[in-house]
Amino acid sequence: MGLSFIIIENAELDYVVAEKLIRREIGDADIQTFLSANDAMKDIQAGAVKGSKPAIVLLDVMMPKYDGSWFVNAFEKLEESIQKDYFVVVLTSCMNQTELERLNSKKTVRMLFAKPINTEKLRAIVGEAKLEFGAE
Amino acid sequence: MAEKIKILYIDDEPDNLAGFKASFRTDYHIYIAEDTVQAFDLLEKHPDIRIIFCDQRMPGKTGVEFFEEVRSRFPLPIRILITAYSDIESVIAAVNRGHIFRYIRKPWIAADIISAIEESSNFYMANSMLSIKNQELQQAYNELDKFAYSVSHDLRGPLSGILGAIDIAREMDDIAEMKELLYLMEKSVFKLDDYISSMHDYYSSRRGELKIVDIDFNAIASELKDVYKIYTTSDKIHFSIAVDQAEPFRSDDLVIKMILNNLVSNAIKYQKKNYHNKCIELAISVRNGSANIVISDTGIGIPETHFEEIFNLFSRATSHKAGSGLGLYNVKGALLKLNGHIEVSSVLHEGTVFKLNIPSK
Repeated sequence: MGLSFIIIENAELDYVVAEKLIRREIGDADIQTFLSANDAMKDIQAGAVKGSKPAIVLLDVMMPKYDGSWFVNAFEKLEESIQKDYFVVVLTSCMNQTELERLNSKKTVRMLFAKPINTEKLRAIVGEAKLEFGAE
Repeated sequence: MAEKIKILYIDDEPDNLAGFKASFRTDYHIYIAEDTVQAFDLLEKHPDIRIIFCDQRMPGKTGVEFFEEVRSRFPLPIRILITAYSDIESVIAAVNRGHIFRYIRKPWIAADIISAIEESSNFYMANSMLSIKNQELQQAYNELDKFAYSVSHDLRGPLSGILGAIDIAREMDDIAEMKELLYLMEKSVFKLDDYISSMHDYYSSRRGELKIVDIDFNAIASELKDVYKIYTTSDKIHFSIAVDQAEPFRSDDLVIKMILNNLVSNAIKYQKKNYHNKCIELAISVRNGSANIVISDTGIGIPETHFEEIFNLFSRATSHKAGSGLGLYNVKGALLKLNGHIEVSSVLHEGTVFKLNIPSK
């Protein structure tokens, strides 16, 4: 089955690398990239996200104005019927332990990885996500 | 110190008050009160009263009780009790509980009062210095916290991006695709480099002493044109500079250049992407001992709600462009040192105007 990805990342190099990596690993993946967490949230709320569901969300933490924590908080407030369509994975270069633990303790954050994303991490994410989606 | 130390003396006997005032009015600024109500009134009106003398035996309230109340409402002034031997027990208790700094035996002699004033004043000064230093330290810590936070984003961010790109490039065969990655990696390196030089600006502008020299704005203008030529040509931006300097202007050369560099590079960075008449105008005029600088651009603009915060440390008004959040903070800090000021006006999607006024040193 084709997998869907939503990349929320404002650093150009980071999302280009993530896109290329996903294309290489999963040829027929649907990828949508958002430069701002706010734009992504608006589309998720409006049900305007393209591609098949459920989708894997790769979320950056440190973005100006609407950051990853903002997104997670907004996501937690969504209906469960919407939440179940998204598998949120946090990717970050943040070194602040309290911030990381706070994010990791959120039940909607399924996995958390240090940047940069690589083949190994992507495979781990896809493996987990497939387990979860398959169980539904 | 030029200004006289302000002292408050409280005693229910008018003779004592008059005597105290007469003895010390030449050297100190003396306020007198016959009861504690009057005393609180004076403390309210004169927050810079440094030392309070109070008689222990007064109708209604003892000196110790009064000081207990003073301590919670006016913690800064130094409290000294004037008392007879027979009250010694209550005095000891009061000293131990920290209500009073020292006590003076009644009847007092001038030498005791003067030495008490000198010592109290020193103690007061040391205490106030300490609280000022504490505030400065707190501010430094706050900035350090922000810095630590931004280190992981602005220093590690581009690096981890480059690492990720190297990793993926290793298994790439397509040269064109590799070149695309290289181009993006280069951009990340520039961003990092930009950040490091702003960091440098930040520390040198915070710590450095000003070196005042004659400023030739015409020379600075042509330098700016040269430095930014590659960017203005490649991005097709019309960059014009008008200088009107008929009188000498003295300031710190590096600080002035840092300010202008930041404003010009912002004006270039925040241009609208597909706009055909990209334009930056810089006008510098030196009149009556001060320089007025106006820089306007045809960029993306700044929402009015952000006008205040764009000058804050690590604040970014937009998420779509590369910025360190240091540039305008440095500009404001530098202007503060030069006694100058800056104002911003902007129309979203149309452009931004920064107006600066810098007095000659």
